Amino acid sequence: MQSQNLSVGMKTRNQLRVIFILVFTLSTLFGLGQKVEVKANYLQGFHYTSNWDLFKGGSELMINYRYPVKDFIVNTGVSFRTIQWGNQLSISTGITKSFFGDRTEFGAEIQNGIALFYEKPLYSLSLGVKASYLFIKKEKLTLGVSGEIRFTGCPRYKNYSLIYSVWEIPLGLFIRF
Amino acid sequence: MKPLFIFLLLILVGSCSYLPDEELILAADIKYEETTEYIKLSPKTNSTKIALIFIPGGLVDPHSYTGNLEKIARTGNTVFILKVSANLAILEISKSIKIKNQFTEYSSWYIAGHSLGGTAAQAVVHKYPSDFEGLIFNGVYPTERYDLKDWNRNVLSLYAEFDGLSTVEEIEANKQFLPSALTLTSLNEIDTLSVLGPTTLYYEIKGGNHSQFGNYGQQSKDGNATISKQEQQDIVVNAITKFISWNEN
Repeated sequence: MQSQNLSVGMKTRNQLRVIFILVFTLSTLFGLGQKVEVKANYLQGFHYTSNWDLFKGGSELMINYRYPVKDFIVNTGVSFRTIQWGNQLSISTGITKSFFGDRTEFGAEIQNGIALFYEKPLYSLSLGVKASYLFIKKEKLTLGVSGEIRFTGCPRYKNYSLIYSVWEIPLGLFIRF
Repeated sequence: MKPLFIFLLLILVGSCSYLPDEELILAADIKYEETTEYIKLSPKTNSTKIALIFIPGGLVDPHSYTGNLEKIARTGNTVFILKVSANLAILEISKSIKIKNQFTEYSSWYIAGHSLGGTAAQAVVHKYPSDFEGLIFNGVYPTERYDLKDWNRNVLSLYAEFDGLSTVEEIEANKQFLPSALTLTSLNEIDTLSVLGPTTLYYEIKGGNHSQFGNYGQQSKDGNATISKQEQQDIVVNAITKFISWNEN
């Protein structure tokens, strides 16, 4: 009975996590008068756990909602990606600032996510710094490329695998509208 | 926006993997090596020149098979468990060949797979027919797309009585896509088996199911096993070991 209650509790928590992510996605995409960014990343890995090695880190699709705060642009959104532990869904929050005119941006980002496993999703965390260049910048449409250095870890995956953290260079192409 | 949400929802639901139901324990007598491409299990002493590439089932974490496959490593053979993007091996067919070409110290290569991983193994053999000495299916029925009926090597097909995802009926209905069939009633028959040409050896695991080919709990839509996971996996290891030994001689 105790294990049943524990199992029900875990399922409820997982359902709450999923609902939270979906509500967040909805609020992100239905935000009024805001800029939306859709980005595709290829992630080139260069370090895992305690080894230096070049490897294919995965692919990522991000949807961000961007809004100005003083001299900065704050972005929040969701990302879905493939990674060493399968697939991962994250909520991202970042801050960027334009430098050298209005076509070059630098920023930092944090992602809180879950490694997608049935019944037992595992928490994951990413931290990164990024640079972007906008090669088309119009009032209603912006296109650009980005490069980033990012750390991602999934601490509890350590119980199942020797690889539970990665350092990667996400190379992205994005559109803002 | 609505289709986008539906798409996101489908991605979310359809991309969850099965996590191993046991935590990773490294056996003292097995050399365990993990990279971003594979998990290598090899004996610390008395290693043979035989290697087996194992492809996990679709959306099953590759570590779900280490406990079972290290028993094969104990027989002297080296096992490579493939790691692939999104845990879907069918998207990375050429990775098996990349591993094979990387480890030239092994002279005889076999390829095996569970479930969708078996279909991926079939696709690999279809594309690179001369690279492997044998193909092993764990709960897999072959597809016409990668037809191997004219392949000139032997195949072992292990299937389970209560498999709800690769049913006994599906195994029977798709035999024409593998070399000529021979059904075993006991694994001991392999020891004295004499065949004239490429053959597929079929063996039904009584009381087994689909999920118990690995260690990841009960898979959705699967039947209920009447034998333990340990019993089923011991049969699988015994069958694979006997098949490789017979095929090599």
